[in-house]
Parts: sequence; structure tokens; C-alpha cells
Amino acid sequence: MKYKKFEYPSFNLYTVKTNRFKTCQMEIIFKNQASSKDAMLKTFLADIMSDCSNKYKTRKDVARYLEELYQASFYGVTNKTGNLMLTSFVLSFLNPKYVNDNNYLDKVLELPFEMILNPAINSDEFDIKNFNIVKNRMNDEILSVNENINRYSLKKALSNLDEKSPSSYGILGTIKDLEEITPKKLAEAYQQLIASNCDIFIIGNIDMENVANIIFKHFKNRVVKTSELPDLYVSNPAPKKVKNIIEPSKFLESNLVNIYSLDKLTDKEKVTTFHFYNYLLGGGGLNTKLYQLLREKNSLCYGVKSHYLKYDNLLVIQTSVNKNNIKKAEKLIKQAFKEMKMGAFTDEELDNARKSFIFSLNLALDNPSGILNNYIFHILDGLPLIEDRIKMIQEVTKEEIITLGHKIKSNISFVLEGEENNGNN
Amino acid sequence: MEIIKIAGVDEEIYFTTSNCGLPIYVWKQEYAKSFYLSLNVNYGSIHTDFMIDGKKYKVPQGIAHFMEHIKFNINKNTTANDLFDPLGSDINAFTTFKYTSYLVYGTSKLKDNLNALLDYVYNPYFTKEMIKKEKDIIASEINMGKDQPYNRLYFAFNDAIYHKEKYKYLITGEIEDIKKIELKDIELIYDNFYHPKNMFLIVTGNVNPYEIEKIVNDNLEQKEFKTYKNPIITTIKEPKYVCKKEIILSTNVEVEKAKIGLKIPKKGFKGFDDVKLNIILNIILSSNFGDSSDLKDELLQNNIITYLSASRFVLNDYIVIDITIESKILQEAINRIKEALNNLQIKEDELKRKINSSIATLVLNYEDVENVNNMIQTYLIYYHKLIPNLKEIYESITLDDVKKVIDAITTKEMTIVTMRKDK
Repeated sequence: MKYKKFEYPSFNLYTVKTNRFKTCQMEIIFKNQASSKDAMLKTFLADIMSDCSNKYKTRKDVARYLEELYQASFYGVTNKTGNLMLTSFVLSFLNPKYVNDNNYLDKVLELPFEMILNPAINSDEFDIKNFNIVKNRMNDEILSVNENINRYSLKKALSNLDEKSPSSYGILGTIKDLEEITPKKLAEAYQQLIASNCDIFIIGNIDMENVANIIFKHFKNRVVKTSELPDLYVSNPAPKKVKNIIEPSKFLESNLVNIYSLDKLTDKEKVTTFHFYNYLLGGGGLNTKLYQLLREKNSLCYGVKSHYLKYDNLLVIQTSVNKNNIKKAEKLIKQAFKEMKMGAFTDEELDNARKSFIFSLNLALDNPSGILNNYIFHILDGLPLIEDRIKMIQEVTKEEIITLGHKIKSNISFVLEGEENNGNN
Repeated sequence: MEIIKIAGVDEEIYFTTSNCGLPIYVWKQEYAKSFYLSLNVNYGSIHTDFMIDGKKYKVPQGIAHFMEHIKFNINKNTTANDLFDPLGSDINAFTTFKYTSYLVYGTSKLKDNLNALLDYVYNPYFTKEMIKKEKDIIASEINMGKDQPYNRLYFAFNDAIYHKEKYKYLITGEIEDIKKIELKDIELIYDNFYHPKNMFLIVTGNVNPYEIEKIVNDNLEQKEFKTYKNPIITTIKEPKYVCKKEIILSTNVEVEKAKIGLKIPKKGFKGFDDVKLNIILNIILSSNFGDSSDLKDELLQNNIITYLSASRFVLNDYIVIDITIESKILQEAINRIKEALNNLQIKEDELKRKINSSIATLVLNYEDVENVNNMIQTYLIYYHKLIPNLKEIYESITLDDVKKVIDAITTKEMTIVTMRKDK
């Protein structure tokens, strides 16, 4: 794999040349500081800009052109990563060597820039028909979160963090936020987006010098307003008193979400050691502390997982149980933490975590988006490349993992109480 | 070992059968870091009524899925995870209507992983205690499924389409079904269906097919298998008409949704085998209801729908078409879909574009080890063979073929399932 950087006045292009895949993938990323008032606008923008442009009037036109481009795919997506809002446009396409069209590479690479630089804006407003399509779709997306027990309770639990913290809100916002967006406001948000800091990443078995020339040809006339980007990591300090919230619901199962603040993790802990901790606690396979205690030994749930939200400095545990077992589940979660603090895991389990971590990194090397994603965070956050991370994993010790137990502080306990008790009256 | 060449995409799949009768399929991808193993059993949730040596058996709904759960136990103190965790691999399993699959995803120690997979799946360790313990866990899983609106809508749709077919029942079974499962039922299923001759192994990744064959033979030669009795699944005589013309679900859903379904006898589609029929139906549905269709574009532009998808299901005696929508004006949207189903069409240039893009997808499908493994599973389950000439089949499709299929799609047996917000 060959990594290369091309610097241009208004963007940087990062390329990965590899002969391992039949497809190529390109990601165009606009970076902005996260803010609750902009989250919804950015999400809306990513959606509408991948649905239509001045040339391709509707999603149908885009879909037909993508079919003509040998089933290429193109979409826009917004992600909140710590303090940053990343608006990305992703293009996947067949390696030109499989295509009987000498201009294929130029044509396929032109598409995202056509969509980004010539959006369906007339008289400073987005086209109303396409605006309404996206608005209706987003309205349903916001509402459908309430239909999904895991998404709903996680969203509610996180919303109880400090409201100034970007971790407390999602990229979807509320129906009220959506109602306030107009075609004009969206066009203004577009002007801000298009002038923001942008990086382009591409992977594939193609001549990257040629790729760089094509991209520059299509993306050279952008005026950039440089602004300093914030530190990526959100600090979510634990409150003096843990927030305990119980909310009734019409779901059958009860959903439990516990949020923990992570206090001053070092760089090494963020990149490797905490992944080990999380793997052993509840993020790994079916032999984790939580899985063994809640499911295998007490048959309380179908599954239980812990998630390390690296850029939010948070750890989240989530499970579904019947309502009679909520207290027991909470007690067992505390027991799992206690066992971790006491170092109640064997060298063999630690070694298994090491192997699993290496496995997941190797797996990422098997698809274009896995490699590209790691490269993006290498540039954004200095995350070591996959090959280097594999070497770093060897150095983690049991003592370092035990130490982490003292850096985890309880923050929020959220229970969405269901109606069913599995017929075990 | 037979080498099956996949025409037009420059790929090969190796095929052999182990000494004890296990079919083995291998796709070699020299650049892959990972490998993907799937050991599949031709036994799924719909196979609850069968005959062995002339004797009829009926087991509780949900037993295939229940077996998948308890199969992870190796003995009282060991589970499959204890075998795979030291190998740094990821394991999983799933149950569908038609088969059960045990999976291993790894990046090193292929031989150890393959041996561990064969050792735990071919290990008949079942106890009353483990069956009792698993019932609470599966009950939780069943409730989680019922908390998902699309899951409920899907099974209500199947309930409306089918009178007798087992597709109408949850793959997990209901809580009342799993309460009935006993040790003897589990042993009956294992002894008769978990036999190499009723299973198939698929290995994809940077592997040597001949080495795979040797590992499997060396491993299985150490195991004893009972004589395969070739159980016969009881045939269900499903009526031609839909079971219920309409179902209205009132629930705590936020976004109202509906499924519009057709049940069409397959005898109307003369001259088309299942593979070609499936492809043509896919093209028709994509052209009429997909992102590139005029209808979807118009319904979105006029705020009649917010979501639209279409799928088809080719069964032994009939095909089922399933159109799913989300809408604020559900009845109007349903009427428009019904009208479109009565006026299906395709133009020559559109057909050509769909065929070309589908051929590109054939190349794209051979990109990663998991996808190829899943694709082979699908072929073997639905067609009982690989389809090495798919490109040729696509290229052979004419506008006349598509029109013939459209003419055979009748809307006489239609069902409408709506999911409305609780008042």
C-alpha cells in the first residue's frame, strides 16, 4: 500500500494505492466545529446534496446516472466526531480496468464535484420540491428513532449530559429544529459548508497522479474561509451526583443505559489500552464480564454490550431485560466493574483480547472503507496507521488495564421501563 | 476437486465432497487477510414437520433457532467461545426460514479455526439444564423482535399471504412454543439433520482448497456419524389465494407503514427457470418501484410517500411480491401502488441499463470474503447449485422475456397490511 499526500490551495488530497480491491472509494470531507444548532442543517445538506443538483434534478436522475456508471454509488452523510462535525460525500466505483470506456475515470470522478459545487439552488434558495422530499424523510427518521428501543433510550440517556457538550445531542435534532429550516437558511448553510476546511481521500488501484489532476480540474475554484478547528476530544466530566432517570414506555422489554465518564486518559490509553479494558468488560465476544454475568450465569438478557466512545471520553453500557430484573442487572454491572478493578481476568483472557484486537485491525485491511477510515483518523487525530497499531498492541500490560478502573466515573443511569416480564409472573 | 469457473468475472470456486459426504465450496482470494468459514445445515424454522423411516414427526416452532443457541455449549463448563477466543477469531450463527449457519471470521490459524468449527458443531452435547436456561434468554430475544415495528409488519404480511406455509411463524417461535421444547426434540433434530450429508461448508479467503479438503477429511474421519436417514420434509399444500385480504395493526409506531403483497401461481411463468425468473422480477420491480423509477420520483415529489421498496420471493408453486411504503397519507399511497402493480412496464433503454449495471454488480460481488460466502449460501439454499453463467443469463434477457413476465403478474390475489399509529 502506498500512501501519498497532494497539497492544493483549497484542499488536501490523500491517496492510498493498492491492488487488493476491484473497487475504488473516494471520500470528500468538510470539517466544522460541532454545534447543536448546525447539526440538523448539516445533516439536511448532506442529504439534499446527494439527492439532486442543477444538472441532475432529482434522485431519479442521479440513480439512473449511477447505473450508467456501472453501478457506482454516491451518498452524503454527516457524522459528529467529538467536537467536530464531518460532512462527507462518499463515492464507490468499479476499477476502470473492468469497464469498456476510456473516459470512465474522468466521468465518475466528476459526479461528486458536480453535486457539491452545483447544488439545486436558485435565487439563494434550495429547490422547494427536493427540499420537501428530504424534509419529509428526515421527519420520519426523527420519529422512527422512537420506534427503536435501543436508539431511543441511548438518545435519551445521552441527552441528560451537560447540554453544552456535543455528546448530548445527535445529528438528527428534533422536529422543532427541522421545522425551523427553510430553503433559504439551507442555502446559507451550504455557503458556509462549501467554504469550510476540506480533505479528500481516495483508495484504489488507479494512477493517483492522474486522479489528482482530474480532481483538481473539477474542484479548483473554491474559496475557503479558514477557521481554526477545535480539539477533537470532548471533555465530559462526571457530575458530583450520578443522575438516575426512569422513564415508562410501551415497549415490551426494559432498556438500561449506563453512561460513565473517562477521566484524563493518556494517548496510549485512548489508542490501545482502553480498547482492551472495553473488550474484557463487555465490548468483546461472548466471554466478557458483562455477558457472562448477565446472560450466561443469570439468563437476564439476550445481549449486553459496552461501547467506548473514544472522542466523547465516555463508556456506555446497554442491555434489554425484563422489568423485574433491572435492579439485578445493575448490581451485576457494578460487580463487573469491581472485578475489572481487582484484575479478575487471566493472562489468557488478556491474550485473547490482544488477538481479537489484531483480528479486527487486520479485518479493516480487507475492505477499502476500513483502510480509508483509518487513514482519515490518522490525518485528523494522529491515529497510527493500522500496521503500526498492530505493533503497539503487543505492549499493553495487565497493570495498565487495572489502572483504568480508577479513571471510570459513573455519570448517568437511564432506564426505559417496559411492560413485559416474559410471562414469568 | 472440481473447479467451477464463474464466467465473465474471472473467478473460480472449488468444489468437492468430503469422504463422509459433506459438500465443500472454496473461493480463493489471494489478497485477503481474513477468511470466512460457514458450516450450514439444511434445516431452518419452517422444517417442523417431517418423516423419517416412514414415521411422521412434528416438533415445536422455533426449534431450529433454539438449537442454534444451545449448540454453542461444548460441555458443562465450555462454550464455543472458549475454543475461538484463544484463536482471536470472531464467531456467530444465525437461523433463517430454510437453513442454519455457523460462522467463523478469522485472520490467522485457519486449520485450528476450521477444526474448532467442525468440533463444536458436530458435538452432540445437550442437557435438560441448558435447555431450561436458554428459554429465558430466547424469550428476551422474542420480545426484542416484537419491539421492532418492521419485524412485526413482516410477519403480519406473511400471516396475510400464507394459510399453511410455515413462513407465517416467527423464526424464533413464540414464547409459548419454546416452553414446549424438550431434550428429546433437540436430539431428534441433531441426529437427523446435523449430518454431513445434510450440510455444506463454504470457505472464502486466502486459502488453499486442497488443504481445506484434507483438514476436513482428517477431522471428520475421527468422528462417528449415524447412517443418514434422509428425512423428508412434509409438503404443504398451500392454497392459491391469500389468507387475509387485509390486516390493520394498531401499535405505538411513529411512522405509519404498509405492505402491499401479491401471491401469484408460478405456473403462469412458463419457460423461465427460478434463476431467470428471479432476475427478471428484480429488474421489473427495480424499474417500477426503485430509485430510478418515475413512480417513486413522482410519489416523493408530491409528498405521497417518504419510503418505498420492493422485493420478490420465488417459492416452489408461486411467487410473492412485497411492496413496502411509509406515508402520512397511507391510503392514497396504497392506491397508487395498486395502480402501478396493474400497469407494470419497462422500456428497452431502461432494460439495457439495468442489465449492464447488474453485470457490473457481478464483478463487485467478488470483492470481500464475507459477501462471497453469503452469496454462495444463497445460491445453494435457493437453487441447490452454483450459478456460474449469471452473466450469460443477464445477457440473454430480452424485452420480450420481461414483457411475458409482466403479463403473468396478476393482481387478483392481493393483500394489504397496514401499521397505524395507536390512537
